[in-house]
Amino acid sequence: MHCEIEVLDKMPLKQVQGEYLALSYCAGSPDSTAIFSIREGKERIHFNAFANLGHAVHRVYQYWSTEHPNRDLLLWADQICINQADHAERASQVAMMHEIYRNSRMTLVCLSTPSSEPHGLTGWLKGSFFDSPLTSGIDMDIQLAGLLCRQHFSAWETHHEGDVQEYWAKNHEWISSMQALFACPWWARSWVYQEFVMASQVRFVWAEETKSLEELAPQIRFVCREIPLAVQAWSDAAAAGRLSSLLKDIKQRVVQYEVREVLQIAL
Amino acid sequence: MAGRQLDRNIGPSRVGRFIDKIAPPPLRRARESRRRFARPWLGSGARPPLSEGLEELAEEDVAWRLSYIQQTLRDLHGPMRTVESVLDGRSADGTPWQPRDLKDLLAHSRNCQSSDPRDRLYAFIGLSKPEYRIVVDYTWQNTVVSTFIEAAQRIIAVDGDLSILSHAAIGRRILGFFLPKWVPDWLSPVDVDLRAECRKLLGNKALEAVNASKGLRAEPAYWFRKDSNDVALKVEGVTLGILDQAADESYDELHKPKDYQVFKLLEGSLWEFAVVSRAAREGDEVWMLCGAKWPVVLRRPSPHLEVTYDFIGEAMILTPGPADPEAPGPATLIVADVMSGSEASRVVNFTSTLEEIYLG
Repeated sequence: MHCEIEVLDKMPLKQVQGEYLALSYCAGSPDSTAIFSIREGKERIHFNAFANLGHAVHRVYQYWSTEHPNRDLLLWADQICINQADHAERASQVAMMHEIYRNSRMTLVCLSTPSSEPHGLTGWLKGSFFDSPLTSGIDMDIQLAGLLCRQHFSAWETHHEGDVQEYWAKNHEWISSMQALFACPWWARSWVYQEFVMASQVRFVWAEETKSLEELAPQIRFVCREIPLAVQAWSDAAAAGRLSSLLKDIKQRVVQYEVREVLQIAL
Repeated sequence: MAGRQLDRNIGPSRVGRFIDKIAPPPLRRARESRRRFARPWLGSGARPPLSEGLEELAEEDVAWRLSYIQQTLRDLHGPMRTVESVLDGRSADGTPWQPRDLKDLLAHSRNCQSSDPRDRLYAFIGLSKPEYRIVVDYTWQNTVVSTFIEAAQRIIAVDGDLSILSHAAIGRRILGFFLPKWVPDWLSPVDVDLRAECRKLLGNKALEAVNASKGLRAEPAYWFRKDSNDVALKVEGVTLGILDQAADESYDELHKPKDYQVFKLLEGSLWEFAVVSRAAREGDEVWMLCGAKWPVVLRRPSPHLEVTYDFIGEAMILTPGPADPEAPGPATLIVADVMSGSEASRVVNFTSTLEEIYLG
């Protein structure tokens, strides 16, 4: 993909308030760079920037052009908009950074890097039994049961031979994509905290997927709090020899839930 | 499989089309709102029915899968806390953003990474109260050590107390050696936390009332040593006791904590026991400092070489509770009155005198 980047002249923040998108990303290794070519007036400037920035700009452009096919994307990105070699400019921009994010139309957080697997935002929910933890009536036990047998079925269907156990551990997409999401370096960068906290609105971008903060945050909180508790409770039940009665009970509840859901849809 | 067929026969598509055609507006609205809430992240993808696979879920399968997930979750514990801490930064209810206490922000910063270590501070000052007036300086002469020392001075000045000491005591692995002991090392993650341990030991409620220096204000001053970068912090306080010998074994109800030790205080002190960090040792002194809610453990300077006290950590002072005639044996330890300001009020009433010392 190729896109034309043009640097706008310095303009007061007030003038572009609510019109530009701000980019938040993790710079990554300085060894991994990409060449940027930007136009400033009549001049064309080439410079090296973090490869992750190139990836993030492309992804954001992709998102923007899908949402607003005929409009130019006005984007603020630190490495392009701040002259990093100029200590004074860097210090003054750093001091107003929170204002830049606060006044943006939206902050796009690019969690993925060029080497990320796809589906970091949905892989751990895909084909799942998860319903919204906040709005659904499904209890945690049922959701966990869903997680535990997820892909078990397809494992049997496609891999009748071979070690199912190994297959499950390797191919359980919800676990690997959950690991990828939490291990993603963006979360632990110092600067992104301010960018995230001050942003008027936040949208997460992972490769071709995007998700608003309002969607993603409850799912993450759910995973962080509820799953460890439920897994612990089940493990305790297994240790106490109560697993079979627990499973029996859950199967019964699942059937009840399904009947209820079908009735609700029919209504 | 039964579920999947059900879905196909009377699932959303057919019933939905039916309702859209004939249903009166309120019903359609109700259905639409349900659709929105039901599975916001699944989009249009079909969901397998819940019972699929559940029949096949055998007990032994569950057991090994659980252990596999548990291992994964253990590995993810740290990253999960960081992610939650980031999410906590934004208020969930949409209340307008308020400048924060810099210490709280820097506590989050301990979990972070940055290519320039000074950014561990600079990345957060935009979110803090403007009174801190910390100047961003990226020149090479401004080292991370001096950045942190200056920040600590600004924090003490704005807070008007010594609450920064609780941050200085926890996690100093990376830069701790180069910083004065009263300056927190914001580069190091928290390793052991005395307050958290005491909370486990004594319960939340016992800790709420802790304010050892109630009514006494900190009036900090600094003393810059000429021959080095050292900055000593002048404080006022009262000695509460001297650590005598470890007493972990003698009191069962304290369940010897892993990261902390319990010391008996040398005779002559009004109190009996102190819970202190593993860094404390026999001969260290427990002080009540003006402006510090928790008593602190200080190491007295050797008479010829040093003039400053080393800040070692905080201390929880305990005393035996009232004897229970029905339960013989040693009385349960409770939080001593000094923790809620008994010594501070003696100072206010002039029955105890403050002493000026320097923390190095």
